[in-house]
Amino acid sequence: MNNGQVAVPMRDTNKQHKSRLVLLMIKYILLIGGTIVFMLPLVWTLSGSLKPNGEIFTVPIQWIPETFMWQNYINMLSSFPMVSYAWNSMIIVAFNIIFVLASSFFVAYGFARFKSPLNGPLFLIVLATMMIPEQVTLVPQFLLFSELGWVNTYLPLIVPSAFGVPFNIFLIRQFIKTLPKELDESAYMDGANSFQILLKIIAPLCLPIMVTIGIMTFNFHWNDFLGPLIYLSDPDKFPLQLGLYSLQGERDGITDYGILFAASLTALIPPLLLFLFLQKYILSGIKIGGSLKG
Amino acid sequence: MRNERKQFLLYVSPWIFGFLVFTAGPMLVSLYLSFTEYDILSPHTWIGISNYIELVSNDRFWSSLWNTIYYTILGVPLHVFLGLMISLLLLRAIPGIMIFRTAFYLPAIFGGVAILLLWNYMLAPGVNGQNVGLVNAMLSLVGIDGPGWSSDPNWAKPTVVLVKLWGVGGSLLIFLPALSSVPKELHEAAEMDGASPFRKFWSITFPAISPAVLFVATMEIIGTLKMFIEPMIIPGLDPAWTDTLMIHLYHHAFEYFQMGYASALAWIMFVIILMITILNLYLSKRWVYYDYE
Repeated sequence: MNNGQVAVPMRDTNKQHKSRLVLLMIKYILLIGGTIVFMLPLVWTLSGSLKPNGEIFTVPIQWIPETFMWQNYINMLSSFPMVSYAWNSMIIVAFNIIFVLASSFFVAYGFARFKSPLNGPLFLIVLATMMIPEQVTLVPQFLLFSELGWVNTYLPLIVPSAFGVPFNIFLIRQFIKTLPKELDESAYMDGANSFQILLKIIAPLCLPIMVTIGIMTFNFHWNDFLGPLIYLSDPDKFPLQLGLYSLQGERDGITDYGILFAASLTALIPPLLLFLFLQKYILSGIKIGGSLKG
Repeated sequence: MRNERKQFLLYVSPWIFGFLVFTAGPMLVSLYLSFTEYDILSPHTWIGISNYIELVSNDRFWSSLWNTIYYTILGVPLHVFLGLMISLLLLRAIPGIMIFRTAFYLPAIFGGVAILLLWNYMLAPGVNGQNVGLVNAMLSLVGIDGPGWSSDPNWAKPTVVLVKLWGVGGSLLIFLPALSSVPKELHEAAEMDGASPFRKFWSITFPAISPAVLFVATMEIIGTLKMFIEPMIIPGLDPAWTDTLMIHLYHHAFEYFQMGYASALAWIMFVIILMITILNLYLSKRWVYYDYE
């Protein structure tokens, strides 16, 4: 009787242990398989960027080039204004990050910390504008900016960011709400005003969410295509993505695939570096659970 | 108290200004413009609902509407499902987890023209002795004769969906924190009761992370409805196979300078997105779990 009672759970845990091992193995097989699938495009193009034309599109794929054509990267720089395009992208990205962070933080603080009958209704509008697609406003915004004489400048790509981006206001507000209000109150007691509290108490605590938003802003504007496509016509002002697109316009004439591969891959380096340096902030993620309502 | 109200207005005033000037104002202007004919150079003229009539009689409007719906119906569920599956695989800190997380997340940061140009070459079909890209070369390894991708009318749209799915790891940022905040005790209790892993997922994990699922799905739906760059860079052999509403709008506004027509299209898109968002929020009441209710 007694033996039987002990033996049954024993066998059970043994079985459980085995099935857990099998599950772990399946997990690793899926993870390794997935990693290969997700990384192959990068490996293939990297290998292609170091090959002469004739060797890129071969079957079976020759993963390691016979001779490394570093020349492709040098030719890229001489045949394509890569540096100037990248510089233009950097200018647009840098101004956007500064404006987005400052304005969204300022506005989010207002929504997170001050009571007003307008707070709820206005925040609903913020949430609603998160959902409004830019294209509804694209045409009239274009007309507005052309009235102002801003077409073919970076202003239409930068200025709107200075007035708060709804999605970021939402994220920062959620974050500030999780900070204890006693922090603010004791600072008020010490005679600080709200702006000092914002800068000296709230801002340092918001560093993680600010880094996350900074990265998202970087990636968004580094990859942005529609804005520059509509507003910029002077090739000297093109950011990288638009420059690459104009290169694609001559696609049929392009016979130097290696150079095109090299240029496209180079455009991926800045987001990649940013990711590698700030990985711990990025992969810690954004907490959404239950927070949509308020 | 009054001081607090004033401070509130002070802090949110930049957004109020931006909202009025860059969103609300332009929306009203575009509603007005949708009833006019306007090419920027000559003054606009009121033409009533002609733009809307022209729209519904334009084949390219219908094809781009259908393509947009296709991308949404096929792409969004795949995105949410795969994103969730990958997140479940990546949740526990097993050895090598950071490498795996990085590998799955990395494609999500490459969203611009550059990577899409490269996809064009990766998807080179290799028919008639032409270039063979990565994808069909890999498929031939396992004995599959790869399709023509963008050059095949049946594959052009799935191609766009597949390329977009490469970035599915972006949803890790939302799913992982949500999954890791599901209380462990609930799982343990369920295990004691002999619940299967599948049952545990549906009865415990899924209800607890449903706000995150809703968030990802909503963002993905909105993102897909305004999809532009992917079909611009990876168009079908006939662009009508792949063009979205947004591309249709771009051509009419910024190539043919039909600002009235484009505004009418913008408003139709707005109404569609508004309906979907309302439906989405309504449906969510039935299955989104809020722990303080």
